[in-house]
Amino acid sequence: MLDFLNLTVRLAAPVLLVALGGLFSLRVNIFNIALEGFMLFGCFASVVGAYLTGSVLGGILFAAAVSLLMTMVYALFVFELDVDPVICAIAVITIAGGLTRYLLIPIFHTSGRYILPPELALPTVNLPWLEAIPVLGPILNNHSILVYLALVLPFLLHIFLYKTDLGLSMRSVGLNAEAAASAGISVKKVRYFALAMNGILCGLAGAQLALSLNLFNVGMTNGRGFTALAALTLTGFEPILTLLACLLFGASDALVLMLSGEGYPVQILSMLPYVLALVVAIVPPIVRRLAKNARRRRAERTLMAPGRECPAQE
Amino acid sequence: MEPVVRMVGITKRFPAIVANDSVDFTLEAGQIHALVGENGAGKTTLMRVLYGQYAPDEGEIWVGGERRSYNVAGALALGIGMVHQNFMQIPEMSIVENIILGHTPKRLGFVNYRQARQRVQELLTRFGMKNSPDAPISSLCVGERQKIEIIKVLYLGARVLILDEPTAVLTPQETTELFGILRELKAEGTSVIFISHKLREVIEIADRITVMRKGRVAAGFDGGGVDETAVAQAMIGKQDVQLLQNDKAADIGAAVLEAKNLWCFDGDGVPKLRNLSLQVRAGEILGVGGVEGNGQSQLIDILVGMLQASGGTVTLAGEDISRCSIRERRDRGLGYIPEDRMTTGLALEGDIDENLICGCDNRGPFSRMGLLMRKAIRENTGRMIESFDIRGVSAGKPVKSLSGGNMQKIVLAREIARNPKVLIAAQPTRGLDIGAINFVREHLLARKRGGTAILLVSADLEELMSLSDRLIILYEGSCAGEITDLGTVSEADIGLLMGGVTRRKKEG
Repeated sequence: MLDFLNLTVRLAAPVLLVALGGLFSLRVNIFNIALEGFMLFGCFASVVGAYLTGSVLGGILFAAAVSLLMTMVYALFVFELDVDPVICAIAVITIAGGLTRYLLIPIFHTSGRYILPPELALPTVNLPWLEAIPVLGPILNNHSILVYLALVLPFLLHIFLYKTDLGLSMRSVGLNAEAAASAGISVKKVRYFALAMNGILCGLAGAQLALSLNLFNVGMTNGRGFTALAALTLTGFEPILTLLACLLFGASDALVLMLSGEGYPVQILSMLPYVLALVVAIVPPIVRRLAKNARRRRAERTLMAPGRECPAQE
Repeated sequence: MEPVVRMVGITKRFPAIVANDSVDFTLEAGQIHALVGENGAGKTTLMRVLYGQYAPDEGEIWVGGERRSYNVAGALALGIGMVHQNFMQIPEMSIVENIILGHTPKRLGFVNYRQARQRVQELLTRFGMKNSPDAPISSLCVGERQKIEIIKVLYLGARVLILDEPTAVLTPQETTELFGILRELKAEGTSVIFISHKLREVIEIADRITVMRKGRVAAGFDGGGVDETAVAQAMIGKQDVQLLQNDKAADIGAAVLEAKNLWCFDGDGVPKLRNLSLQVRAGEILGVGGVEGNGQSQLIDILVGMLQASGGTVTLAGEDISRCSIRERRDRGLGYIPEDRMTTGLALEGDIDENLICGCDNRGPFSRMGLLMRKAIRENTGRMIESFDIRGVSAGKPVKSLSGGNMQKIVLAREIARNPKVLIAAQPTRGLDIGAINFVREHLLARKRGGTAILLVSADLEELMSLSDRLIILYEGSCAGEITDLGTVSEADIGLLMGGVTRRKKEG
């Protein structure tokens, strides 16, 4: 069971990092569906970076830099050239898929997949004092620094959004850009900042995904960017709730891994996270709708009862 | 003494129009300076230049004796603040957050919410508001939200306050309260620029009145004892400023449109209409007044068929049409001039031909066997252009390039030419200049004489009082009062009904 939870945390980390990146975009009202593409760039760049510099840190930094660069290109198209953000996002996703597949050939002289030497895998941190804590210890110990970053970041982000000046500006830009501008806030600067953060976090997400396995696989993000969007939409872009939602997705991923190890059919099991994402995206609006109807019917019953005079007159 | 603000020779051009044409404007300390003019006269543009939102193409701005050029942040730093016509607020955020937005007090890199809350609380108390600084803006009513806008500007230490049509959304009582606040600010030495086209208010409050017309300063008056007609004439630039009135002496027939016990709830179960009943008779204009958001739009939507009522019935000429589709209702003689000609009234990308046959496009003579009859449609357009004096149109060009008045003429032509039994007119003259307002009024009154039952929903009290035969005031979705003899009530009485302070029992 503790193994399962430990695995949950590890598998949740990449989705969580992408989601937190996406949170920046959504908070300034850019519905960035290109998260998947930026993350894939991150995966590929981390492997290239690690290969070229011969160090894991090099891989992580390179991933963040490349993904940042790509989001800035995206931002340039969307903010300066007024390209529709959705069209632009589709372009990013398509290019990310194609370019990473192609570049494997000139850079690594291979196709489809490249495996780094094991010493370039993202190392896990073993903290004896953490291990000593019952239950929590075994769950939280033995993760990479990026996993720890992913776990701490939601809380920092919460403080950032609700306690700092820039956080307030970001929220206001997302809710009503015109009002923010009239208060003297530079909407464009805030949006560029948010997209830059989005890029860096997507890069880190990609690095965690690729370097923890020390390999790059074509299309290895496998819908995590979209899962992250589902988690964000579900939680209303609240960082701490997003952490919980992503842990849920991590758990379903972990379940798939463990059950398939025991001989259950992989093909069916691998649908599990996506079914979960679908359910999570569909159920809340339905529940809200039903609750609304119920409230309305209750109001109708109490106020429209026959023989009652106009209530405002009482 | 050096004036607080001096604008000299301001010119601002937009692609299609010169919005300000070498305008001079001077504001003294502690002055309430009214800027009046028709829509499109350039008042708001001039103030946006002063507020740093637009850079002038030509001209100089002197603030406190020094020549300046600046953006919005610079204007705020110079103590110039603007309260926009549509509030620049974020309903989801709290009062405090809205007020400190962009100017947060900081401590160790974090927003010092405690200090902000304290200062905001002081300002709230001063303005007699009992709301908590942490209450979301969405929980406030319109009058309160406007006060927040003013507080927002004062929080920044503004010495020049620009108010863009601040009374448009207020009841007469709220307006009086606002004027009290403005006088208090004036006593403290704050200068106020007050944009309006309601002359009576302007004459009541202003120390100085500047009239703009077509991008230029048309006249200037000193406050106190100014003649309303003189200002009005300067505003429109012709002698004839009389708006058409209903002579109220027509013969009124039987009820044509009848709504009985209408109920309507929104998604949260909040009642928007409470047991509302009304009748409109042939040859009668029934005015529906009230502060916006008290059920007017739900009432219209239910009558037209865009919204299903939770309870109650609608009958047209004795037949129950509660379950009819919109098209069926229109076929039975319902005409509708929607509140917003840009979204509901017209298809902006369509040309005049298409807009004029909307709703009758599926039958002869415009359509045969599913094909549009080009010739019949063109003839129809020609007739309409002539009889409704629609200007500036050309075939195949989208109607969005037309002026507001000509757009409204197209809507009017389409809805009136069908000779409806019932006409529902929502804010039919909103945003139009006096010439176009009179044109709309003329046609409404002509329809009334022709025996159409007209339901007129308007936020403009003057319009309701001069056009209606009978007036009902909505408050929180029910009828707060019915006024059958419009000669005997004052605007203040109606204001009390609009604010829900008093109620009138239905007569008869």
